[in-house]
Amino acid sequence: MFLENSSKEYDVIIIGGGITGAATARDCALRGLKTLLVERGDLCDGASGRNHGLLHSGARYAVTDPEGARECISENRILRRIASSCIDPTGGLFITLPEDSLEYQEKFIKACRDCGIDAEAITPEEALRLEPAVNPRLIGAVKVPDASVDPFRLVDANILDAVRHGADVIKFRAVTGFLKENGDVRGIVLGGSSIRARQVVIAAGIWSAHLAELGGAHIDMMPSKGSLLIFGHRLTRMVINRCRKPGNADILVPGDVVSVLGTTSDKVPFEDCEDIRATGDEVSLLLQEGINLVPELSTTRIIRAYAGVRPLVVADKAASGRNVSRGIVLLDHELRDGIKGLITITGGKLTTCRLMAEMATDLVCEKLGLKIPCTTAEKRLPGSKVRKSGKDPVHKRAAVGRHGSEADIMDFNAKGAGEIICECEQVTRAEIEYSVKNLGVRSISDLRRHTRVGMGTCQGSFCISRVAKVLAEVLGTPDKADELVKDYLQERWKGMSPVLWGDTLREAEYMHKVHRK
Amino acid sequence: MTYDIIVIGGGLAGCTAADVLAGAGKKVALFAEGLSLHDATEGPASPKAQARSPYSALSALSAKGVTVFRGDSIVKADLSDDGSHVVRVFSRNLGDEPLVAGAFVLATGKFFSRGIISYMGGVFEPVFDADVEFEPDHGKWFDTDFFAPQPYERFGVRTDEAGRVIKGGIIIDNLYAAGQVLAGEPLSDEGIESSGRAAAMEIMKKW
Amino acid sequence: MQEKSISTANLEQCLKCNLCTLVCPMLAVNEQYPGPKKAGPDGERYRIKDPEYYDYALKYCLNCKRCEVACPSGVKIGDMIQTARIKYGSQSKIRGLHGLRDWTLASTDFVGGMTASPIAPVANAVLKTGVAKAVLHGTLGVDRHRTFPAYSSEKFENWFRKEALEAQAGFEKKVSFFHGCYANYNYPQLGKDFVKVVNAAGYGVELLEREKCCGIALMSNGFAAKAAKQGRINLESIRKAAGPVLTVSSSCTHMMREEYPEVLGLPNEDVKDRIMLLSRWLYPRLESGEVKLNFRKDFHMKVAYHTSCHMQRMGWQEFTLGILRKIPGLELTVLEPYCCGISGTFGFKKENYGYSQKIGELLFSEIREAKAKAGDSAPFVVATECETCKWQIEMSTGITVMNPVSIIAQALDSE
Repeated sequence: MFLENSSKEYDVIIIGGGITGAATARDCALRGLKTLLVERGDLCDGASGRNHGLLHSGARYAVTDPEGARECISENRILRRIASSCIDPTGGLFITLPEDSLEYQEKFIKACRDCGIDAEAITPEEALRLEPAVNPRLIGAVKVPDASVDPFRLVDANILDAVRHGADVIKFRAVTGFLKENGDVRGIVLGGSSIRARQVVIAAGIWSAHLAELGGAHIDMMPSKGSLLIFGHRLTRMVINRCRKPGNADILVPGDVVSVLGTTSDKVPFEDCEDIRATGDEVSLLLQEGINLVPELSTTRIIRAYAGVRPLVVADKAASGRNVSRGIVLLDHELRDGIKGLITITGGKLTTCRLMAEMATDLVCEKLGLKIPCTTAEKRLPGSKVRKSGKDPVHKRAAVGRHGSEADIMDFNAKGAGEIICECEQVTRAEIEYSVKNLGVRSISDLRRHTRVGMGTCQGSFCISRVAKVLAEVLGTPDKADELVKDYLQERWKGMSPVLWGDTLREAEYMHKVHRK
Repeated sequence: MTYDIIVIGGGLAGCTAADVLAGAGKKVALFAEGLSLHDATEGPASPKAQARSPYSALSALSAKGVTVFRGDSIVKADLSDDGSHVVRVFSRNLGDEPLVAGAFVLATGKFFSRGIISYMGGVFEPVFDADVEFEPDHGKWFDTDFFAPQPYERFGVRTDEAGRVIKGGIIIDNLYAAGQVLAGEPLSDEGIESSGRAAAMEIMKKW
Repeated sequence: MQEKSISTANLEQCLKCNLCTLVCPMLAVNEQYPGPKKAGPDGERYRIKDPEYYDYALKYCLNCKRCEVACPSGVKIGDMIQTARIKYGSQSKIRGLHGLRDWTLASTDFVGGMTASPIAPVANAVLKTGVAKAVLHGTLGVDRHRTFPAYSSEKFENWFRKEALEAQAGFEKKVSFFHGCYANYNYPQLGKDFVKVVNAAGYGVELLEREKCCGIALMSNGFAAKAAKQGRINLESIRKAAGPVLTVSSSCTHMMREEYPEVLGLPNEDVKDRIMLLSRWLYPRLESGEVKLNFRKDFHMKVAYHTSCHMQRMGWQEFTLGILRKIPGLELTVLEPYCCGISGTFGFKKENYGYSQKIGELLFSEIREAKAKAGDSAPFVVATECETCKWQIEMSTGITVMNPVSIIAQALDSE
């Protein structure tokens, strides 16, 4: 259940509503633990919502990090099955350009095969036939089982499953401290109130360092900023990678109806993490590199630029972000720091979220003296149930595309339920009502994360007032509509302004004329 | 085709200028590439209610004798050798048919209607390649507060005091800019109308 | 990078301003139709992701291109919708008698070739009977209110070869004539009027080596491959013809100039500028003095000009109006360019008849008003370059509609 506060005592409290926390909450709930997840903002507000949305096959890491690659391919296969509604099995293509080397491609194929990743070399002609938009200068290409994953929906699905198995969720409340007895953690403090639990798991991405500090432990983390660009439509069917040592802006992912190009990698101070935004220099860098993958990026509208922070745990003294271990980091603070009741799970990748959750939950169970097997690899997530095939009505198709079988519990029969409220992304009233009811949505930005409302090419110019009106009605605060619009536009502006030229500037002029009276 | 005046742009400024000029008995042609930002933001809310009204301003001009080219745009202009005079212009639809007039009004608006076009490195005016005032540093094109006045709104073509367009430092003596295409403080609807009227008055003084 | 006119992908230029939505005639009368923005650029983003997002309600698009005329961003909304219909809504999915009906309506060459012959009077009589109409309405789904345009007993091509070809040899300068199906099968007089005007201008007329129906009806009924095949033949013939290739129908002209490349994927850049309506060719020549036409002194006619949708999209009405204004005794009014609603074969289908008539009502009342104002001191006609507008306006108002070419021909002083 979504709660404002709780006086219950829990087996486990998980801090962080990103993918790691959500997956851990699901695993704990599925194993029958009394579970609470606490998130200071909305679900998927941090790095989980600010990445490529790439379901790695592991190919990208095969040469440099075979262990990570093996984890990826194994989790890739599991997620395709249990989270089918969040995944678009696009496949991936690693292209070799004349400035790269075919020797590396050979090494890459071998490394993939050693890790159990299907990697099939195809001719440049075949690659261009599959993907007419890729750089025609390519001299080699390899097909791998990469895919596109919607991180927002993956978090939602995990949360929904956790809630449906008895877990509680508190959003929009920050953990300000820990309940401590004899140096051991016995729960959390949320401002004025506290909630007791037998185990607390920190799963808060880059903010884990700060939380561990509050709990009395120290984790040496390094915030690594990654900036990305969103282009207005799908330029390719497959994920496109450069076949070389991983570098800047060398992945293009077809995510839902857009293309996402990324990423950069720069060390930033902790204080920057709260309001992270892409800079003009990063946009230039991304474009310069991106056009080597797909030249058409140079003439395609950029809808927005955004940035996230990778939670890298420092394992050595490397200065820049990319060589630091991105492997899964599970810290048993009892063993490590003598603090009973506290665990941190961080590092890792979106692709390995389920595995991270399994590892963290195994440790929780061990601490609680329980032996309950993990079932998250077998049980399908909400939305990924097998649906009867057959044509859905037009106004329902986008909802099915986003939420899979969950769309079947949306009420499309009520009066006005099928009305499209956000036209770019074809979001209906039924979908908005579902999100408010099931996912604790409060603002348009929250709604956006769960439905794609306002994520389209107009970024809300045309229909955001209508969205606000419907949302305010559903929330039962019809007089708050204008406020919802204001917050939303301010947030959109953050991503639009670094790419304010061409059609995006035209859109901005229209947006200003409509909304700034 | 020969007219007294050719108005480029069918928004508020262009329609106002054409209306004044036609009212004074001039033979006016107006090119409206699509409807305008004003139409988009002030138009009727429901398409079912008034399917005909987005064109009401242009229809009224037609009724006044203005030759209105809907959905057509001026794509090319021939200037005199010294660059101080527009001799003829050409439109996308009319192709090689020369469009001749004594004076021209540039009322193509800003970015929305592509009166000026921006790209990553700058801003240009697409018909005459007129001089455009803009901030060279892209980081200064916007205010981080969405609701604040935005620097990009001040971008536009340079003109002399009479509103004549400047290209390469040379005043084009029969090309008058009106409305949002102008550089400087963004105009209110009333401001746009009065700049359209002003351009018409200047033209009637001289041409 | 990101320079000049960025976004080569045309759908990206859509700012969602909805001006197209405001001017769409179909949306105003039919709420099943999603409207140009949703059907065009919005839908296209989703169709690129997955063709399953194709919406069969796109069949309601009239292809009038009014969305494109209104669009401040240059988005080819109409072309995008046509292309989507071809790509995702293929005719193979429409089977049975309606499929046969669509094929019959679309195959102007085949049906016209069979019917425009000595059997024409019989065929016309049969098609006009109540029994035939009931059968067509009930089985094929051709609306009972419609009458098929009458077929001529002699094709224009035959007439030309027999009666006009020889005289053309006397002209030093020549133009080619793409006559189109209507002039060939239904109303050869239009072709004869064309020859008369061009000859009066001092030019001879040649037919193309091969002319097929431009394919617009095939395209809009989902037979794109067949349309493209005919398009290739036409373009080939046009390439072989040396000078201008003149036309009398705005729809054929728009099809060959704009939709061949944009919708059917047939490149025509090399010949596009040579394909044009007679008025587009004639007006500049009259203006420059290269051509002089003598008009009758006793000509009297009140003409209300209707800009057909495709004429409006091409933006050429001023060429026609410029010529009509030169005719002494011709009193001209220009109608507000509303859509007549028929959209080629669209309005012939019984499921569309109601929409067609509702859409056309704005135009019909404008025409009735113009006629009332005109009085009866001279014959009143509506002029338009589109033959299907003609059928629709004549059926709906009872007022005679003429192609401007025929008006010019009638006004010529041929002595």
